[in-house]
Amino acid sequence: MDADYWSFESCLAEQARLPCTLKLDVEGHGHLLGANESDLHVGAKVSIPMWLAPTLILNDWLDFNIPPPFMQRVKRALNANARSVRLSTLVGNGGEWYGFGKLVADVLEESQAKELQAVLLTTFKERFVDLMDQAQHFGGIPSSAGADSMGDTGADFREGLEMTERELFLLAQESAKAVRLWYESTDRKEH
Amino acid sequence: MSTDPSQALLLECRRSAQTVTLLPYNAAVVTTLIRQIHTIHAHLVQSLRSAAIPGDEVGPTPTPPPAVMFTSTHHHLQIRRLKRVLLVYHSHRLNMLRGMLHRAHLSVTHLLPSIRPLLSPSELTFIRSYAQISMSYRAEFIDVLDIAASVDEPPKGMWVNVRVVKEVGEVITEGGVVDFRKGGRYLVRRGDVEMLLVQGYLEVVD
Repeated sequence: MDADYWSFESCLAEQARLPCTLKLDVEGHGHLLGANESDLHVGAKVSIPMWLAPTLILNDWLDFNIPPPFMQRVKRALNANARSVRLSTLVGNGGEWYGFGKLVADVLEESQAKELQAVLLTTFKERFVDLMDQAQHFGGIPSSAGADSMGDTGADFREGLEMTERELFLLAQESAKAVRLWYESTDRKEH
Repeated sequence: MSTDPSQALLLECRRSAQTVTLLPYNAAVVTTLIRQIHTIHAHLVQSLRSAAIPGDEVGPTPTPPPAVMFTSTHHHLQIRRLKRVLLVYHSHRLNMLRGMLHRAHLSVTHLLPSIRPLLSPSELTFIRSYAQISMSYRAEFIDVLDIAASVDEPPKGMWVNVRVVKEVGEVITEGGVVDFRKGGRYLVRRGDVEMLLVQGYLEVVD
């Protein structure tokens, strides 16, 4: 989810849409912006993908507000308990909450950007501990019964992981497995 | 609009990376995207031309009205975006191909049968020329290091017990000439037989 030109994950994250309002009139261009009519006027609402948004905003042609995944309600829920928030449902389409958040922070002005970045960081740090813990000990994302009572809350958390967290989860599982295999193989040779 | 086909390519990249498999070349979507680029570009040129104010040739060209700037910037960014998607898709596939070729010890003949239907014509040319370049580079210092050799399992010792699987005949080794007979077992230096092991003529036995 880095800003690497060559990263397809970064490309995918940029497809998330930002609701904006027009600051000027455009004729005949409405359909391309995803609107129903061809002519749009000041104040019209359009949904702009993130690869398009920064330039249009910085050129002062669009206005935007902080999108739903990062509004106050979400911030309050994260403050209360970051682990119980389902990040995967906040952003549709493959659910890249952190990636989208980073892109939004890039177009916000200084003070708001800093605040959003802090939220992203704190959330990540809190959830990461549980993520790693579960990856080392549990099976895949929502597994079936057979787990103890701790397993239930675990399954909820794993379902709520957004895309980047899922990738990390899988990586952690695989490395744990690889370490175990290596340990067992070297063990044998010692005799 | 421009999201669905490009999203298809990006999702293919993701799926191919997650499953570590090469998927068939999506020529249909690639052609669609290229066509979209041409369409948008024609549209862009046309709109700029019609918005051009016929001023005098001496003075500087005045800036077009904001609406025109807005739409042309939009078109321009759309084209850039499609270009990026195409480049990312192709570079992802080429990287995979390079990795596969290296794992096949730079042998195109070994690799090709399994993946041939998945490649586009240009990718086929790419594999062949890349293998060729790598082979000629490798030849320069092959007496010191064989870059096509396997690195999966570090050799456990200098000597190795092998059994002949396919008929090899006489091989010149550092210790002299060895006649590898099919089914026979030999204790040889690793360096001598590395290539034969990789190609499947010999097999390591513990």
